[in-house]
Formats: sequence, structure tokens, C-alpha cells
Amino acid sequence: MSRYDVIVVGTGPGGAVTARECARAGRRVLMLEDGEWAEPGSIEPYSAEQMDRQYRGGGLTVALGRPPVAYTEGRCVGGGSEVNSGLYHRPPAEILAEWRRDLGVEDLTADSLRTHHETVEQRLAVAVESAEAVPNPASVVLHRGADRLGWSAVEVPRWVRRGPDGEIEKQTMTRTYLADAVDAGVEIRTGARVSRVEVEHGRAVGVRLSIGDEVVRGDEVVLAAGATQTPALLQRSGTRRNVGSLSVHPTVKVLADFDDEVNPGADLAACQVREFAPSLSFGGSAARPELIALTLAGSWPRHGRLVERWPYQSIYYAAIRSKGRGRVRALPGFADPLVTYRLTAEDLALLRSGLARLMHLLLAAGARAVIPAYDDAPLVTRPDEVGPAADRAGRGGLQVMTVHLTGTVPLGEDPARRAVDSWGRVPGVAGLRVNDASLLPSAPGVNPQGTLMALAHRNVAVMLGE
Amino acid sequence: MSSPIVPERRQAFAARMARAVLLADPLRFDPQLIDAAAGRVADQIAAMPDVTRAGVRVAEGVSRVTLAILALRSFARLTDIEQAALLNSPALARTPLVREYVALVRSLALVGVHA
Repeated sequence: MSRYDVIVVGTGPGGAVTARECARAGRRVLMLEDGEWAEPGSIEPYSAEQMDRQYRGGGLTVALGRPPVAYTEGRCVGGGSEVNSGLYHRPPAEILAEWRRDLGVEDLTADSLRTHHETVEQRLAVAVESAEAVPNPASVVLHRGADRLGWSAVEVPRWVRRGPDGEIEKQTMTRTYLADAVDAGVEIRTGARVSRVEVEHGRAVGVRLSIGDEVVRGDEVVLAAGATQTPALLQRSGTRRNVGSLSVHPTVKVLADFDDEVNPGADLAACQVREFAPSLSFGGSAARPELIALTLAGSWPRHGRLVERWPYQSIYYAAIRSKGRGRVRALPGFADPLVTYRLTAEDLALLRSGLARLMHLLLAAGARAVIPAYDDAPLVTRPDEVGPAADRAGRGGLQVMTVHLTGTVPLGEDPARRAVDSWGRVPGVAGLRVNDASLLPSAPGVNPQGTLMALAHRNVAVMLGE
Repeated sequence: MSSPIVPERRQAFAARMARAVLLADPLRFDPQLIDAAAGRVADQIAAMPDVTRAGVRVAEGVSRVTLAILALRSFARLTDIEQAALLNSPALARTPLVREYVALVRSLALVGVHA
């Protein structure tokens, strides 16, 4: 039976950083991936095929609650990096300060993360694409609306390169860190779902696979399976203390209809309006015709015909930093965990405020009509209709979704709140670590991939120094 | 990788309901598109995470019984017109679980027919 120095569960950004660095340090590394491998660029972004092949549960994953919060997670080699927007932020300093204060996280400052961010940014070719040089009509709309209202809007750095014909090549993990990892000798096994960590005498000795009940043995096990699967694995393996409390950025959406073509096609807006950040921010979503139909589903009898004008439409979101929390619970007899989320009354008020401000922004940008995504929503064409339309958004029928799941295995030194220590080590189980978005104690108010990758570099550097 | 095994009967109910929703739509979708989208709805429900799928199965069972009671016979035995009329019945809107199930199928069907 093969034995590895390091087994990494999950091939998303956290796992990819971990595997590459361990292999480059001479460790024998195996990565286990539940999903499949796809040739980079072979699947149309945000398409039905991508949902089927690269999202967990075909994209039909939901945190139960009132309202339910639909979420999406990558389930493929490269994880979320293969399916997300490719927007990059360093974490706001005040968020790092909040994590240090609330959980006693050691050595987590903008300074201590700087070199790790620089490494990530160089490898992923992170850069700001000028809106003038590469005009994305959905982005132009946001800039125009923000200019007219005097709000702050920024073109967010992205990890993309342009192909010979100007097409976007996202620098996903399969194109970057995983390619490096394979070059350094990492083995990747797909279709390999892990059911639990094998622990003997207080030490992780490997993992058990769901299919065939096979045990793969290794000296170190690093869990990087994402913010729902990592906590479920820990719970099934006997580690439950402070594991499973979920934090997300709930978002609500508005469809905007213009006189000119604004649909971003296979791309999306890189502009974010951050006038009210980090508590509230606005940006653009994928807007293929099927996603426009989904946005209109709750008001289909009234507005369904509008989908025929899809080239003139785009979808925009308002995202909030939520005071609510959710839970991820592994249940006996089920392979997938139960995920719940409770929006507070304050969250709901902020989402309504977000809907209202987003509708004002889009009307200021020249939209001929906007429709918020909730059941029986009205068609809004004038600013005086915005307030009543936002006020009608209640817990019943409001479409809330998120793509940023964090907080389920928070790092830190406060035993009452943390699940792992400041470096991702699982207390009481030698040789077991976590190194993915689960570690972030709360949703950081910005796209989290940059933060989690820098954190993963920091943690694996400590691991390799031990 | 989990490979859910869903009884054909359950898949057929979801597909039939999706078909009824789309046939009744004022946009008048192409029948071939409708059949493809209806099949996709059933596949998507089968591919859901198992915990979610278990909840959907409960809602589906309640929907099946409720529709049969309202129509005084099985949903499958109704004509296309009768199925569409039943799905727009105010009585369904008053049953939260059925309402949610119909909304789920409608959303998936609309996505499928525009994909």
C-alpha cells in the first residue's frame, strides 16, 4: 500500500497552495478530489454544462432558513477558482484586526501577509484591467451610475490573462498552482470522496474514501475541501468543538434592462461600487439567458417575456456583511452535510437597503427598467417607485444567494471560539490541519480567495518549518 | 463521488410537472425544448446533495398527494390542459410545501428551457 508524506483533501485554492509548497519542499503528496478534472477553457463559463460538471450538486445547494440562502461551491479539480469571478482583494486591515481581537489569532496582519500576497499575485498575474482598454458593458453601467450619484466605484484586480483574440483566460488553479504542483510530483486522484480522517492514538494516519471503504495512509493530513465539506469531515472524524458555524455574504439581485446591449456574455463586471463597503457593496453577476430566467422566475407571469431582450440586460447584486450565522452539520446516513443559515432582522433591513440603492444606481446609469429578484416583484422605471419596491422584499419569496462561504473552522487562540489554532492545526489530533476558506472567522466583506490563498501560504510555511 | 439512485417514478413526476409548467407558459416554448428541459429537471433533482434531495422528496410526496386529491385522480392521468390548470390553482398556493416544490420545478424548468 502506498504511503504519502502529505495527503491534501481538496484541490481548490487552499489545497493547491498546500500541495505545491509541500511538493517543492520534497514531500510526497497526494491530492484527493471529489469532482472531475476538465481541460482549462473547455467548459463555457457560467453555463449549464459548468453547473452540471463543476459545481457541487449541479449548483442546487441551499442553506435552509427563511429565506433560504442558495449557495454555490466548486466541485472539480481547482475547486472554486474554476467557477468564480476571478476578482482579487487583499483583506481589509480592519477585518484582520477584528479576527485578532475576537479570536486571538496570532501574527495575522497586513504586514505578515504581504510577501504571501505578493507570491500569489505574481503567480496568478493579478492586475487591474482598465475599463477603457477592455470595455465590459456591464462594468461600464456600474461606473456610469456611480459617477452620476457621486459614489465610489473601483475596477477590481482580477487574475486573468488575455488570449491572442482578447478572450479571457482566468488563471485558475489548474492553470497555475496545480500545474506547478504536478510538475513538482504531486499526484491528483479524482472521483475520490473522503468520508473521514483515520485517527490512531491521537494522530491522523490517513483518510478513508467513500467508495470501496479504502484507506489511504499519510503522515500528515490537510483538509482543504471547502467551507461545507471540511467541517463535515472534521465532525465525522470526532472533532466537533466550535466546528460548523457558517458565515457568508448574503446577496440579493436586480435585473436591469437598457436601451443598449449590456449583457456581459461569458464574462461579468469587474467593477464594484464600494461607497458603503464593507457592510454593503454592489457588483455584476453572470447574466446568461438561463440566469436571467432564474432571476425572473418569482415574477415570471408578469415579466417573463422580458427574457427575450436578454442582450440588453444584465444582472447586478447587492452583497452585505451579515450579522447572522449558519450551521454545517454532518448527519448520520447522509454523505452531504445539512447547511442552515439565519438572516437577522438587521440583515434583512440591510438587504432591503441594498436593493433600493442598487435600483437607484441602475436607474441613474440609464436603465429603462429594473426588477428586483423576489416573488411577484414589480417593474420599476422611476426613482419614486424604488422605495416601495424595496420595502416589499420580505422573508417570503426573496431570492438570496451567496458564493462566499467561510467561518466553519475558525482559526485562533481563544479556546472558547476557535476550532483550530492560528496556523490551522487541529487541537488534540497531531498531523491534522485545515487550510481553506473554512479558517476565515467571518466573511471578510470582499471576495475571499486572495485572503485564503495568502493564509494558506502562511500556514504551510509554518507546517514545513516544523 | 456519490451517484444517487432515484426511483424512475420520482424522476418521472418531476419531469411531468416541469413539462406541464412549460406547456402552460405564455412564451410558447418549442416542444422539443420542453421535453429536454423537463428531463433535465429530473436529472438536476437527482444530482442534488443527498440531504437536500431528501427534503425535496418529502415536498414531492406531499405535492403528489395534494394534486391527486384536488384533481380526484393521479396527476399523470390528467390532460396537458388539466395539469396546467391544476398547477395554477389558488389551492396550491395555500399549501407552503407544495408551493415551494412547484416554485423549484418552475425555476429549474425555466433555466432548462433557456440553457
